[in-house]
Amino acid sequence: MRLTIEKISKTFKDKQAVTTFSAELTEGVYALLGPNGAGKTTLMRMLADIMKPSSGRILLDDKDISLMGDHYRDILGYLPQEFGLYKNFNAIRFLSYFASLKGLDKEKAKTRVEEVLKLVNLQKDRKRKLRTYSGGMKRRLGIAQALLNDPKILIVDEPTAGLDPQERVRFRNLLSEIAGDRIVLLSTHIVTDIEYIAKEVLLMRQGELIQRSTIEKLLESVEEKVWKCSVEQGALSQLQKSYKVGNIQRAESGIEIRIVSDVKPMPNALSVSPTLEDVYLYFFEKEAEENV
Amino acid sequence: MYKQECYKIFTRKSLYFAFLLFVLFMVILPGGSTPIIQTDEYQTLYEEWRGPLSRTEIDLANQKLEELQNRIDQEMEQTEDLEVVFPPQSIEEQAAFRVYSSVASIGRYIDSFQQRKEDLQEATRGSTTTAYESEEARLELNMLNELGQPFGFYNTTAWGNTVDFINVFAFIILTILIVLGLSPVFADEHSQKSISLIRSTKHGKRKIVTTKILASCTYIVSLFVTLHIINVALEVRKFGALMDGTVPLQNLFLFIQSPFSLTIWQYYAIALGIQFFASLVIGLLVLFLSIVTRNGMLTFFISGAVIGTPFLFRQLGIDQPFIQYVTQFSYAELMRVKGLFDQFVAFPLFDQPVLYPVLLISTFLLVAILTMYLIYHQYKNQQIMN
Amino acid sequence: MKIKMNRFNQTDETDIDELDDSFDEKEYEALEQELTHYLVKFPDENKIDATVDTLRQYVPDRTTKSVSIRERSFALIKRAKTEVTIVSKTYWIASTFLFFIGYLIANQTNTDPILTLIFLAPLPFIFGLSEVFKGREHGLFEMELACKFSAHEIILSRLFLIGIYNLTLNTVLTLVLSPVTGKPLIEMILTWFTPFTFFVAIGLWLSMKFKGQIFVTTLLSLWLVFIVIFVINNHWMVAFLNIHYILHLVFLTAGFLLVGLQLIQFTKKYQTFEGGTRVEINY
Ligand SMILES: Nc1ncnc2c1ncn2[C@@H]1O[C@H](COP(=O)(O)OP(=O)(O)OP(=O)(O)O)[C@@H](O)[C@H]1O
Ligand SMILES: [Mg+2]
Repeated sequence: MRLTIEKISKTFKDKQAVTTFSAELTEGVYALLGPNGAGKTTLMRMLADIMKPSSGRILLDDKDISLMGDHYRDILGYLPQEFGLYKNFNAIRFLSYFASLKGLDKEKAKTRVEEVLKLVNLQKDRKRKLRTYSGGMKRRLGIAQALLNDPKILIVDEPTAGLDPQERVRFRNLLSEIAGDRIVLLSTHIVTDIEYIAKEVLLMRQGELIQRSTIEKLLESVEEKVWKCSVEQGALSQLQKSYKVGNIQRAESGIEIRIVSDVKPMPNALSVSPTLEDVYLYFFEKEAEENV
Repeated sequence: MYKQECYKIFTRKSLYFAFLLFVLFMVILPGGSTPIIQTDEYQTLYEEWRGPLSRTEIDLANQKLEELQNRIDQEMEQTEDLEVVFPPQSIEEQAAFRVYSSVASIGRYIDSFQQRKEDLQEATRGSTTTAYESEEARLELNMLNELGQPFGFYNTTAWGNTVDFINVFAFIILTILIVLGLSPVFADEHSQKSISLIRSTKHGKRKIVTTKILASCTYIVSLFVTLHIINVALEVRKFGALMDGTVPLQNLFLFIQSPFSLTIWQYYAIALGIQFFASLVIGLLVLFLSIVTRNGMLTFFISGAVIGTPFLFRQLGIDQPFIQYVTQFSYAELMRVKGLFDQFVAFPLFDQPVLYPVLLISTFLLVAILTMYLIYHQYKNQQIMN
Repeated sequence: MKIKMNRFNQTDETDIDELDDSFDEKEYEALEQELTHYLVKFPDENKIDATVDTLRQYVPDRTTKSVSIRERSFALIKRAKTEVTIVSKTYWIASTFLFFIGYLIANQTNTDPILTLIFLAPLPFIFGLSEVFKGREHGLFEMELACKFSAHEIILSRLFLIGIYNLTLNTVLTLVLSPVTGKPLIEMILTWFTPFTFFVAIGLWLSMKFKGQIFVTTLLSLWLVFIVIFVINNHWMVAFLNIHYILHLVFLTAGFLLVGLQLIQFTKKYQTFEGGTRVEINY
């Protein structure tokens, strides 16, 4: 299975949200990373065939998805970034309804609803009205909804927002379990979410794909560029102006800061091993700098 | 803050859409004077007879009317054509018929007016009535005496239409647009999930309510003014000008029974004032419901029911005594204004007759104050559950 | 020169003369020169074939499509069964209750039964529309779009459901009231059906423009004012009640066409999600 994105663009009235984006995805988990307003949601909507690209096209195994119609949606699972629920339904009723929308037959729907409820750990609350659900529970129900039809293509937009750490781990494991024979695309701002599971990371900025590679390669690219040093309070604001400063931590001997920079920022700086957060800083703080 | 609240109301396209459609309805509505009135023949006769009428004049008109009638009857017999209800007459005859019959009916009004005074005189003497009833009769008689003899022959169609607008279309259109426009004022904060943001701010519990009320008032004022200006413009376009506004109110057909000593334009001004007050009271009701129900649609239905049900009772002719009370002291009656002035109605209060309009308006002043209090109170103590 | 003549061959001589003056001969030559520099090469065979191949999938397949439309409609109707449970119970009860009240009013009081009928006819549909768009109002629109039965199909099947229910109620009331009026059944049905179709069309149109709560209330207000005006203008009503059959049928056809048009618009509109294009919609 191969999902080809061919130079798609999306222009809103006053805004170019996605600009000639091209990529080819095969089985595995892909992570979409980018600052707010980068165009992640817009891209995912187009991939879910609920928004038409202004130009370009998306092909699944050489077939245009907009022509596949419900054949495409049959193998698609999609979780929007924001969604509502029927407040006076309970979880079972809600999922059964969506099962019927996804064309599952009654018998299969019943077992499948139980299965996905178990996957997202909501069996205990399955009979409660949705209005009584907490934020994280609603999100998990959304994930369950996306998994209902056992999709070959799973597109989830910030699925881990609002989940507690335990549930995040559960979700991560879930994704790596099922990713063997399907395409999974997820967007997130929580970089640790993708650290272990993403086959590849797509970095997006202002509607463009700026980098695409595996996590190892990304980490490599900032190797020897992450520094740790301790400074005086007074020097901090000066440093923040000229370098990308990550974590700032108050220690006994002053302030310990983490800097991402091509060159050694100061003599006493120590090179440390990079994390994905540093990668993010390295690629996206640049924008802020350039804009100044 | 005030500006943003106004913005929320005034940027709702559906309101403009509904308003424009209503105005369109008003424009395409048939109306205007009957063609015969515009003829020169009618106008000259009208000029001749216009003004207060004396006994002799009325007798003369009756006599002439009879002559005309006889002639028409004869012609009818001659043609023997049953199809023609009104046989073809000359314009002159038609105009004359119209003028004389109007004058004749005014004569009848004058008679019954006199009769009514005499009956009241009887009632005040109290031989067959209770103390309260004679008190009431005295009040009415005083009012009628103050009135003198209000009737005369005037062409008041234009004013009639303008005044009638208040109790029919202005009533319906204003009520609907107020309910439509204000039901989301508080409810939308819930449906847009911005309520918790608002309520956790410094002014989020009291001042916001004040601004919302002010913005709603602004909306009502602009609606009210626009609608009535449009109406007056339409009437002027239909009839040319608003004539004879300084004659007593009783010369309007709807107000023949009215005991109030007002000229037509005085009444119009008062009616506008009362209707405006009523609009504000209804606005407050809607705002209150909007807070309580937290749902725009529900607010719409409930306020519709509160305002509409008494009106529906009246239209359907359901009139048990209790229902009648409910109808008389309803939002709809206040908003329609006409019922306050078109006849003598009084209610006993501590054994003294109090005029219905006075009672109604003071009742609704109390209601308004109460609603205002409830709005603040309810909003302050509301909890957000979801 | 010839080109110019061609372009203006509709106009008469003097006009052309005038135009001639305003064009510069030299400018033309320069333009011609410039254009000859652009050469359009003929693409090679492979490329043409590839293009044709990619384009082939975009050519609509006529035979399969018409079949699938029929199948689709069956699927929609079948789907309506599931949707019954989604439409809230309050709606079913309230509409029935409304018609019951309508029956009482028409039967007990001295109002015209036909008028009551005309007035009540589109009400369940108006209320129903808010149920039809439940998903949209509750913010489920995006998720529904991504399902096999897409949002527009859900909407269509619910519309079907609501429509059938509404028509049933109307017909029942007509049957019950027909002894009271003493008019022929077909005439009574036509009388409410014509305004009904028009109103449904307007309702559908409005529902695409405004968000749920707003369009239901707006629509209801319009309907109310319309009826009031109708009642006040007695001669309009009399004229309407005595319209000839044929005219009724003509209007009815027009009404149906309008509804059809709106339905087509619907399917087009709700196939994709274009955030922000709809007015007064917020989650
Ligand atoms: N309906 C719309 N009309 C106009 N502009 C839009 C619309 N939807 C999105 N945009 C714009 O397109 C850009 C991309 O938006 P998008 O929602 O895809 O960002 P995102 O990467 O998902 O951001 P976030 O991380 O905040 O979710 C933004 O600048 C946004 O303002
Ligand atoms: Mg997003």
